[in-house]
Amino acid sequence: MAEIYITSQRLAEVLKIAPEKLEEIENHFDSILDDEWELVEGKDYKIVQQSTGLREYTTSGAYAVAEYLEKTQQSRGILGIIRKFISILKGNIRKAFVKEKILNNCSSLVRRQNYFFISETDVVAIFGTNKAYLRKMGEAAKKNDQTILLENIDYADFIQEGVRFYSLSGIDKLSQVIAQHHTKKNRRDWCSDVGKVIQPQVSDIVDQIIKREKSIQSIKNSAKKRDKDTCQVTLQRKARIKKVQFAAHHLYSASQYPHLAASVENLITITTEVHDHFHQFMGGFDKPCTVDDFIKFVKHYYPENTQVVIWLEHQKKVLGNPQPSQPHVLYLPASKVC
Amino acid sequence: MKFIWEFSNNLPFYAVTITDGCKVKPSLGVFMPTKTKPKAASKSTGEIVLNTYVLNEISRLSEIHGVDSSVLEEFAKFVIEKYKKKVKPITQTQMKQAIYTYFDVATTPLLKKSPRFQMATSGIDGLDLGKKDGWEKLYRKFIGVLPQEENEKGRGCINGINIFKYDKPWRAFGLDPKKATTEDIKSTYYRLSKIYHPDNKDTGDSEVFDRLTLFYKSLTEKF
Repeated sequence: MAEIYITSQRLAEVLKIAPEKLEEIENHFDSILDDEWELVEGKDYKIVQQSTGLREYTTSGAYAVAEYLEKTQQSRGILGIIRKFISILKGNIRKAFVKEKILNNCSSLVRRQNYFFISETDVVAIFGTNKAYLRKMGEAAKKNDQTILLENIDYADFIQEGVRFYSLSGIDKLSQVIAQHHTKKNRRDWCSDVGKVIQPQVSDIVDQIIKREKSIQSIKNSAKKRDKDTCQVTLQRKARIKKVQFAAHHLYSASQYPHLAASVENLITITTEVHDHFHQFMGGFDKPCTVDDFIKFVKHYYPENTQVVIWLEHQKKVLGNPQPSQPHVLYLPASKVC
Repeated sequence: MKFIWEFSNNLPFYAVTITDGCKVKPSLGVFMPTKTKPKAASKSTGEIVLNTYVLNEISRLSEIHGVDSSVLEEFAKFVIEKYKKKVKPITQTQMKQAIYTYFDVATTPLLKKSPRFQMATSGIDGLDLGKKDGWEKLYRKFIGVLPQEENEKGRGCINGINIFKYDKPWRAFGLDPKKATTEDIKSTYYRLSKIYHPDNKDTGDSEVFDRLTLFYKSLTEKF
């Protein structure tokens, strides 16, 4: 794990001293060279503000200050406090890394019968192991009633043909078994943390997916408002007698360019007839599309509307030259997790 | 649990003492007065040893009734071994505390707010924490077997465990996970299937059979 830095303010809080007192200690350390109290820049601390000399401490620096307090200021037990603080800090940092790993490796997340499942490939990546070892741990888990993986509850083979999925409870059980079997402490800690954080992390991810879907709907309404409920291709308006249905169309399709799905710049108001026509032109609603496809469509079927082509060219510039996005759990449709 | 026999010289009774201090009236039709004090647990050896008073009584009875004394000795040991201490049920407070510890929270409102708890319990139908039943469900799932449900009897109870309440395939199959072979699992499943398969008009139960099948699949799954 990379070096951990502790701000001066946080260190002072943990050591239960005023920031001025910490500054005083720093001065004391720096005043006499070659005595037993030394703090080395780069090893024990780094300067984060050149003008004031404000420091951030490494664990060795924090221990040195705590040791000084214990020996010279009769602050008994302070070393124990700092040791516990650093241990918790390291644990929390590791958990943050585990959570990040989960976030970037669970695009297969799916809800079935009240359980959340993740594909084996993703689970392997989250644990940082390989499929053979994971399966071996599945076998080891069988040797105990507490960890045995139950079909369709802890693992499932019915979600996608030929692909094994594990539920969160299954991952939790696997994490317990892997943690028991690993000889290296860092791997043990990592795998154990997977079981501890998988459920809250997936909960947060699901919340975000639902929030995103709601925000896309809200952005679609904003686009219609911006376009004054007028089809930008046929120029048909909302009418009292002849009801016109409008759709907010994604210029870059939401499936291939999910990072642009909640951007109002990527939306245009058109009638549902035009919308259906365009997607028929593209070969179906499931086919990806770009702003260039829409420009081509307009030029072909509505050549008289040159103004919308100018606007579309402008949107193209605004949106840059987006590339299709890699699958990511945050771009899953809410229907997959609700 | 360890047992020793206790004898009082001037009274026509004997008693069984178990090492945690509880006394049991043996099933040999002899009255045990309440004044009898149990002997210290440390004196027991762990094996059931019948004392001379009991052995004398066995000799007497075997002579009167013409029964082999070893039969009566065996019966006396059986009575002691099968003695079941009354289990004190776990209280709701104890259950709550165990659940709080498991989810690393201090109160019920915090538990309900905990994302880990919400996600972990999403598969539990009808969970009501306003009722004892809700806490029992949580205890069974996350902590273990409720003391009052150890050796439970009734529908769905196999080898002393209720298979509808607990996901404990090894226990339900009565097998030792360290020693059992796939053949042992298969033969146990077939034996239980004969009892619980819906085709058995007398003892068949489709829900029990489905649950046993789930356990069997999980026990024999090749990872």
